[in-house]
Amino acid sequence: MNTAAIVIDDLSKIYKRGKVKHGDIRSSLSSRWSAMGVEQEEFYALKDIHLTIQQGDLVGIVGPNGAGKSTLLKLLSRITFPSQGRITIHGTLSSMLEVGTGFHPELTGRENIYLNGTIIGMGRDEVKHKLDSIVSFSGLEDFLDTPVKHYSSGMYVRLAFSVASHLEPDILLIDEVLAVGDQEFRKKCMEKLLDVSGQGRTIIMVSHQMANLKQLCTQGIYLAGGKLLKSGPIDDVIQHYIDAVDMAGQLSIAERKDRKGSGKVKVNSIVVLDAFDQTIPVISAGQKVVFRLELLSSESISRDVEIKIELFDSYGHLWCLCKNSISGRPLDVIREKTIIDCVFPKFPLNQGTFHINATIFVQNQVADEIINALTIAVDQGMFYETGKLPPSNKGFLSVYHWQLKTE
Amino acid sequence: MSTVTVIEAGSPIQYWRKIKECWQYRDLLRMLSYRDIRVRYAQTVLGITWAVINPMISVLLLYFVFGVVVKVDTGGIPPLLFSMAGICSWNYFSRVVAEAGVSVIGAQSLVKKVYFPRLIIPLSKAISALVDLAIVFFMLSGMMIVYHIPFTWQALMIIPFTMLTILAGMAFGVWVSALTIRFRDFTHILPLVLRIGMFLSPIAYGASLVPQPYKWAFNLNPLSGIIEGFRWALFHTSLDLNAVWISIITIFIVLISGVWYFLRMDQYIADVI
Repeated sequence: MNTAAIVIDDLSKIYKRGKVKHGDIRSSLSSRWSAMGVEQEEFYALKDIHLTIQQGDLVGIVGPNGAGKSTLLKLLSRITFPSQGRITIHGTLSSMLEVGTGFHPELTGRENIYLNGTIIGMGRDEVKHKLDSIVSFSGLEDFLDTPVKHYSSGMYVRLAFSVASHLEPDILLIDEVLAVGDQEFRKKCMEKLLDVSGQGRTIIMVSHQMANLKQLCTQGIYLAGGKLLKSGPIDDVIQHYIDAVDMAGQLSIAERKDRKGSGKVKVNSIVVLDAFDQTIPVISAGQKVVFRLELLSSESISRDVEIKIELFDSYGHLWCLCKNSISGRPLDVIREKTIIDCVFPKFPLNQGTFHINATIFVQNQVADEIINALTIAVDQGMFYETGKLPPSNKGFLSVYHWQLKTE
Repeated sequence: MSTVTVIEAGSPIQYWRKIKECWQYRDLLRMLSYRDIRVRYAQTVLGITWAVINPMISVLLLYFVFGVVVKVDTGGIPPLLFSMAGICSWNYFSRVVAEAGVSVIGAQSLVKKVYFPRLIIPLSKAISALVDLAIVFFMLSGMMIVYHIPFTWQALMIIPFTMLTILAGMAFGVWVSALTIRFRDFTHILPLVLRIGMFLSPIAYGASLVPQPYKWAFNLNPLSGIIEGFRWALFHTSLDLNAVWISIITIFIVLISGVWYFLRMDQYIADVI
């Protein structure tokens, strides 16, 4: 099967930075006056992309924040229009950039199925025809005539996913949404969507969950700074991405000379892992994150070792201080090597870049201190079930819930 | 794979194709209108009764000012009926235009997340407001029975005039929604213009009261011909056919130019709002 599903030629998308282009009459008039003199600052969200995606390919798009991943999906789904170049799409295309687009809280589950279904491109008859299947898939038979505002967020997501899973386009675009909802149900949805991939459905997805992509995709695309850096088999692309992120980091910690302390115990390496023990280049807010430290001791055994990692943002504000002697007990480090994990079951920091300082104390004396041992990037993620997050500069993320006490 | 879609920067806008696409998405048009109707009166205590109370108050107010205080010449038609027949198409029109104006901005979350012909959004407002129009018609026919006004075959002529009202709502609604995307100032301009329009339309007074020198300007308001047409159909008042023709021509010019302007804006909507 070697027919192209999508052919992208010389594609670029330019956004005007700074002053809003449209907005009020005054700026529109004045921009006419000043059009001769002032150059408007432009930036490329995507630049000169050439790419062919074959029919039946399962493609994962990876890249850091601002790489142009979402822009590419928006261009493909015709939400926004290219500034240069051409996209040729063979077959029907649908996109799931969000779960439950257009859901209205006042409407019942049944009404929302119709509404959401027609919004994402089904006809009314098609929804009607699939209604039973959608409902039984969601398992929400009893709540079909309840307004969606009374649903729990889990139920909401199930209903939305069930509708979306019944789309039957030739090409499907998915943006990070598969990270929502309970694991089990998500798997069921993906199975349903992938079910027909053998018959030629092309799926393109963006995700920061490398493990997921490796499992689901065959092909990969690596974008950074709006450019296509690599495309090919998914494993190669992910490897390439991880390498690139590592390279962008500083010298490996073992080679760092700018460290303080007695040196009785040293940090040899710190790696960032996800729930599946895979190295991750970017952390999604809310995912399980493991900082794995490898420690070396100059003595056969160093006792009473305290380890501290601090997470700073780029302005130098301390967001988090983790110390094994605060949350637990000091440990003993043996000469060969000791590996210890600092585990965040649900990573609590919002989108942004953070620097990690690592300090080791042996019997209350500083043994090793590395400023800026590691830089980590955090991207949006599913901290809350809704997939929404507060603006990135509005504090840390906390587990909480709202409870209604009056009826 | 039969369908091939080509998206090319700088390619000419395929107006006809986009209009046909709106037709393909007619189910969405239906659902969006349905949603508006369902949601409009949800969570209000009086619910759909508001659709009765609102026009009732306007009619009573007009009746008081123009029928009781000023005593405008209605040509023998009961003043209450006179204003009611005047206000039904105006209320519909102003509601559609006001709602369509902010409709695309209000649908940001949709527009940024999924593709569909954006033109559907302002058009759906013309459909959802029909419910309120129907309710006013109902009240109007009730009042006609109360006042012993006979129904004649001529009353059926309100059907083409209603169609014209719908087209007028769509035409101006599409223009205003496109302009509001481009210039947010229109969220302030629009209520002002609608208020002016209400007094410049022959709602509580007859077009015959407008002095001859101003007549041509008065008739440029497409609602003038329509409102007079309603009264002609129901009460057999005299009808200036010129005014009707001007209305029809104005409406079609505004509709075609509005759709043209909207479709020109179409591809930038997600970037701009």
